[in-house]
Amino acid sequence: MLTREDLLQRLLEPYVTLTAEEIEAASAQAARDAEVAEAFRLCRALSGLSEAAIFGDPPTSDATFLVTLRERISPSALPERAVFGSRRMLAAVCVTCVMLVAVILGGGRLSGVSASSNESAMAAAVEALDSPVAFDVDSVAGVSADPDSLAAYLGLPEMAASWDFQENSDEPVTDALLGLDPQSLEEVLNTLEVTSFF
Amino acid sequence: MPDSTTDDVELVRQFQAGSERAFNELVRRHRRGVFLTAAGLLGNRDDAEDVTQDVFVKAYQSLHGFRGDSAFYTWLYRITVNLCLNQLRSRKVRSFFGIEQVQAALPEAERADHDLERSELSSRARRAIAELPEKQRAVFILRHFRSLPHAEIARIMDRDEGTIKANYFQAIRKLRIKLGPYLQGKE
Repeated sequence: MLTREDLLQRLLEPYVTLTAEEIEAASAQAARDAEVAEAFRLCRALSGLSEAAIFGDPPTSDATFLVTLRERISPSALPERAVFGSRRMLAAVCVTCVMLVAVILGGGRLSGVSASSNESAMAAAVEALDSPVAFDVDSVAGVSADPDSLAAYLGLPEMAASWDFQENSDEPVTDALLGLDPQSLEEVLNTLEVTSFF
Repeated sequence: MPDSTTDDVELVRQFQAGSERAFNELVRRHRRGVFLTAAGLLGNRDDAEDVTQDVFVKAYQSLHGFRGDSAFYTWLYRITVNLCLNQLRSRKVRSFFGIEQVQAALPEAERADHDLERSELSSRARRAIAELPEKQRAVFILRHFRSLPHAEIARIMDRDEGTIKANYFQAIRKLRIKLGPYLQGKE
């Protein structure tokens, strides 16, 4: 025979399934015991309630939920990405590296210029370097700043007559250039432009 | 290839070995329980769905470190309860379903299958559960709806078993007070 306390404890268990004996005992007790009667009613009421009836089923299907979940977890699935980037980026870097190595090892052959063209271009460049009139630095430093010497040095002797700067200036060459008329200055600058100093 | 007979421990082991399908199966198995637990705790279906997503994202990220010291569902419901309690604290979610939300919570066909008395009882039960303190609510939902033993709930809530039992009976007592007059009126 169940005691009152046992019966109450039993009635308050979640989703309890009462035996016939328990139901009979609960009914008898409930007839003269308000607390047991209330617990008995609550037991029957709550046992009949499903959580889906109270809260409702999930609003999305399993498939929809999984798709959304996969979209959320895919970036976190590859923690190494933070260091190495995506697979696509990694592949692009590898391809670029392979191409760079090929270009370096292959020299100019991958650029579309033939070896013979390279050789003739190199020869032409060397010839061009040899051909300009070269001025020795020492000789430049030793040029007198008077108009005749400077004009002779620059290969413009006919210009000397029109230059009127003085040799005793602290910056004779600058003074001379500032004293030139625009046309003469242009000629001097053009001459200096093609002059190579070694 | 996981199937419905594979147990959680085996699915976890398969996932740790690289099987994404095993994780999908775990989601299918536990998603509804996680959602309903979150809905009961948060009182809001949209928030519950969001939290359910968060729970499985967190599970996915942490499952490789899961050593099986407890059952998988214990571990999963611990994440669920913690995320829900965090959200309740941060958002100060205090309200449960209003009447209009009750209507939105149940699909039309499902509502049609319930008699008015049952719908009324569901609504009152929902409100009464929502008015429980957070911890009592969590214990009540895990015990009553998830049918978890007190010892498991104690592990999930990180409390001793005696506290959990006390919380549960406090929750039952409050629900009796809230629902009692309604149930008496129906007798």
